Amino acid sequence: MLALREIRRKKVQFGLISLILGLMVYLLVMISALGTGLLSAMSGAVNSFDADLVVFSADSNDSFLRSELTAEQRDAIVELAGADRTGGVGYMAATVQQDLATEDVALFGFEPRSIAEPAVRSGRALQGGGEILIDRSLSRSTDLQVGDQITMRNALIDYDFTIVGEVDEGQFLGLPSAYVVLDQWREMRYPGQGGGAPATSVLLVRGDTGNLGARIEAAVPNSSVLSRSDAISAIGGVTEQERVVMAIEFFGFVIGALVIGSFFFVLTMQRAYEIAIFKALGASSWYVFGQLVRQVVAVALVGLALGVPLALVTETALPSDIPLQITGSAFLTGGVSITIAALLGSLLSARQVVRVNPMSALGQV
Amino acid sequence: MSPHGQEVLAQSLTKVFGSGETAVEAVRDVSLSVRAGEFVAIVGPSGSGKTTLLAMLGGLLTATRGRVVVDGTDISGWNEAQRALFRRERVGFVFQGFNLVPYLTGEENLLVIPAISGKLDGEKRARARQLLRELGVENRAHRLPGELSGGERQRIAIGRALMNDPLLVLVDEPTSNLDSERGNEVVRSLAEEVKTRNKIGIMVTHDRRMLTHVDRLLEMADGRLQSTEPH
Repeated sequence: MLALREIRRKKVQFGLISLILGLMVYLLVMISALGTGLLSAMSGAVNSFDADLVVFSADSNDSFLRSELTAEQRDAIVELAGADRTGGVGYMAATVQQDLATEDVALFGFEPRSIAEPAVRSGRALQGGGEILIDRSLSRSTDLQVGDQITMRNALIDYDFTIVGEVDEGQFLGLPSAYVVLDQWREMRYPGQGGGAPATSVLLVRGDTGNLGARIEAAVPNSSVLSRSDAISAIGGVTEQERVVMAIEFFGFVIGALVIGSFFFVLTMQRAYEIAIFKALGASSWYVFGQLVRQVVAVALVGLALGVPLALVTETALPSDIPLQITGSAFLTGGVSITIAALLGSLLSARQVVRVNPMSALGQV
Repeated sequence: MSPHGQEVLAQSLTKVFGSGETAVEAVRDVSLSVRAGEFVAIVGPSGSGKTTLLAMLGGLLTATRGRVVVDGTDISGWNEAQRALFRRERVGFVFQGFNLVPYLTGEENLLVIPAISGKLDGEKRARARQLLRELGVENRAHRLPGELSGGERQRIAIGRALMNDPLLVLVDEPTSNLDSERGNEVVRSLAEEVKTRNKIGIMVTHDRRMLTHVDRLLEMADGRLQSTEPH
């Protein structure tokens, strides 16, 4: 295997090439991870909803902050969708206090034993008022843990809670999330209003069968139904943020691909002499291409073996308040795009080189 | 095939480089025939077209006019893929500048052609070692070209040319980096190889001291074959 033998004989040269390729993969993965992390910080909790549809009040302009569904609206939707496929979710911003420390949180109220109930990762599920579930994002940014007592203040009223469990639902609007039962949330969100308060902010619906969304909007006055992904896009600033992140990723990938592609183009051009020897001795162009592909793939694998752990170490080493979320698709996209760029650079340049008569490349004529 | 057996035949070969006013006629209307078992030398000043003629006979360059027939087959109209296969299987080149692959050892350079043919096996490795032994560079087999002297590199290049047991052995200035004694020895072994294995040997050289081993001498000047004389 001449291609791999060359790599073994030119360890420093190919090691540096692999390092450059690995750093480029690292850069792309980090850009992608920051984009995903930023989006997750804005909408992770909503993305974790076990729902296909989210019903808002139509006058809220599809805002979790402003949406208020009455008990009548909720009952009508439940009637259409089925009780086992719906769940009310309330939202408000709140502040957690423990001793002298405070932390702003996104507080969600959920309907117990419904599709809105978050999965508990450690501790236990809520059994009623006075208990709270905290998201991992909150326990990471504070010292809070299961069993701690905390206070939440809203409208000058203090509410005491015991943390009974931890969930992994993600953040909302850049704040760590916490979960209480829906009745508790109503009491905090609408103090003193009793039965006259709205029932919930939104209603989650699972299973969008038979054009359910359109039927809900037609049957329930002042209702607006969005898919979960549209509900995320409707969160203030998310669409703009997505566009900015996509633009950064796009330029990152294009520039990364151009840099690596050009690098391999020049690198292969510089090997015209060696390629000419093989051609003169009877190697076909396909043989030359095959050897280059082997080398690029080998170098890319080494580059990935350098870039991937580096990205994972960075994720662990960075403070938890930096929104960084590395996904498998980021590695795949970064690795594949850089490898393809390297292959294209190499093969385009090899195409030029193999066209030259080996005699002239070898300086014989 | 000729009545005498295998041969290489050039008929009215012409090679023009460039076009229009910048066109250079490197080889002009050259005809020759070399039979198997014959070792022929082409001599002439620099720029007389010797290497270009050699390249056309070996399928490295295509003729502008005329044709090359090897072992009864006209290779003139072949495409690059066909000529590559021809070079791989039937031609052994020794280039003037050695042209060894710099990152492969001496032995590995001999194994390049079997490797690119996908025919690298124990038999080929044994043949490579035997050739290295015969050429007196067995102890340098695992050195890179950069670690070898000019003469050692030249002998490795000769070994590589003989590796695939070619019909045509085309040699460009094989002794330019060897002292007289070693050069004489190399040419003698090339001539022996050609005769005993019934190959067609064509050597381009400046060095008239090496002509004692050739069967025929051809002289070139200004792209033309001047004379053919039995040696």
